[in-house]
Amino acid sequence: MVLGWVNEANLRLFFQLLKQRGVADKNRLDFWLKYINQVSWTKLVLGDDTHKYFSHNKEMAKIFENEKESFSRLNGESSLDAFIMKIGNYLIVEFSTEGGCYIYKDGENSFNPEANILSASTSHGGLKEKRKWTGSPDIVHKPGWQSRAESKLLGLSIFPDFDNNVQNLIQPKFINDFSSPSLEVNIIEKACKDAEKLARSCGIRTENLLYKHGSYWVYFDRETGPVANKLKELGFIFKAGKGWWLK
Amino acid sequence: MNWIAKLLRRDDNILNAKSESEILSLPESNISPTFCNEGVLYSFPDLIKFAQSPNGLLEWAANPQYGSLCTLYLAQLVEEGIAQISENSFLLVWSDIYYLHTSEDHIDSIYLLGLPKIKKSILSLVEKGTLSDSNFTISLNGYIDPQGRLVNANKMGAIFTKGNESWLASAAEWMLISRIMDFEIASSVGTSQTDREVHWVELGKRP
Repeated sequence: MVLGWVNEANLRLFFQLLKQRGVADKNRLDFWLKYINQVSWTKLVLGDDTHKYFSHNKEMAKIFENEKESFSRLNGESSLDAFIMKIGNYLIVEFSTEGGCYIYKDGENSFNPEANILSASTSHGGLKEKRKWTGSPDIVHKPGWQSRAESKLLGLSIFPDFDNNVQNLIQPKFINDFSSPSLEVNIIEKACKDAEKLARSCGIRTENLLYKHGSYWVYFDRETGPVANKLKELGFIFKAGKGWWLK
Repeated sequence: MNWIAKLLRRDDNILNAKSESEILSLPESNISPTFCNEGVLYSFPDLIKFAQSPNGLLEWAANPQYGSLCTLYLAQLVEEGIAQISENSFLLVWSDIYYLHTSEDHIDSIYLLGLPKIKKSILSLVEKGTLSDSNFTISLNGYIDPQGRLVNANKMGAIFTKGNESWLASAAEWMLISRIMDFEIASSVGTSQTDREVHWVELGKRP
């Protein structure tokens, strides 16, 4: 069983690695964290330069050694790494630096994402094989890419977490450890989903800023009444002039 | 009607031992709603005066000389924290209206409010300029009818009017409309490209 927190940990590990190598891209980490609850499987695919980097950085090497089941080797372009994640019926291959991002529908890819060695090539079996028939990556990380990427994902019926009623059908993360922060996250997610459902039925806007360590907001600027009572029950806190928040 | 049962169960005898049939014999309504961007208003002279004394609103609303089932219902909605008093008007903001439509306690009483029925529409948006333009705007320019034609309609808050027909937008459509209104307000005070992109993505989450 793949646990949700493993996927998030892998995603963070991937971007931590990029940061350590001087290719920081917090925007991309923040972007994909918005979808993290829908990620059902992940794999890190690391190129030669990263493996060389490990030989100089024992601390990172140790972290990756502990997680070695989660990563494969990338052949082809030594400077590239990739992060593969599965969301719904799609396999998303996010490359480091300028590699772009490719989205494959189930069965569209000929490479085996679970293989120990993968290739970055655009040929049959390569992680960029789609480029042969589309001419460019599905997401190019140029300024303003986030809104284009979000629209692209919307077109595939992939919505950010909490904006997706289908989200209710996804198995919740569960860790049998009551001291675990993940359990707390799970309770907050549940409260936010319930609040989202309530807000939608009443035409009340919400905003999820949890992905950037902010709050989940329900823009209902009233402290009393049945809707306010329900939000209070869910653990939300009232801020006059704005609405109810939880984090 | 659950709200009448709630009134009758009160210990303070606010309705002077009126029976349910006596309450139901009140005229159904003596007021027509008016619509504004914020919600629905029911205005009465001196309403604020009655609202200021304890139970004054319910006593006034149940008095056959001034009241009706509609006013009594509105007064009960104030008691429940749903409706508000705004000067000499009862105010139900749009989220209150949608809440009432989802509440089992209220579903059989909404008709007393004299509101148009909810009708789902395919809203049509028009963009001017691109997200990199400081004067980029996005607005609602009507709805698409079942034949796929763009139709203009007057809008006030969540109420659409076309000729003699009025209807209430669905809750999801109201969320989109309010996002557009926010975008218009934000544009009028100047926004960065990032702000415009964020709003544009929000608008992309259309019903």
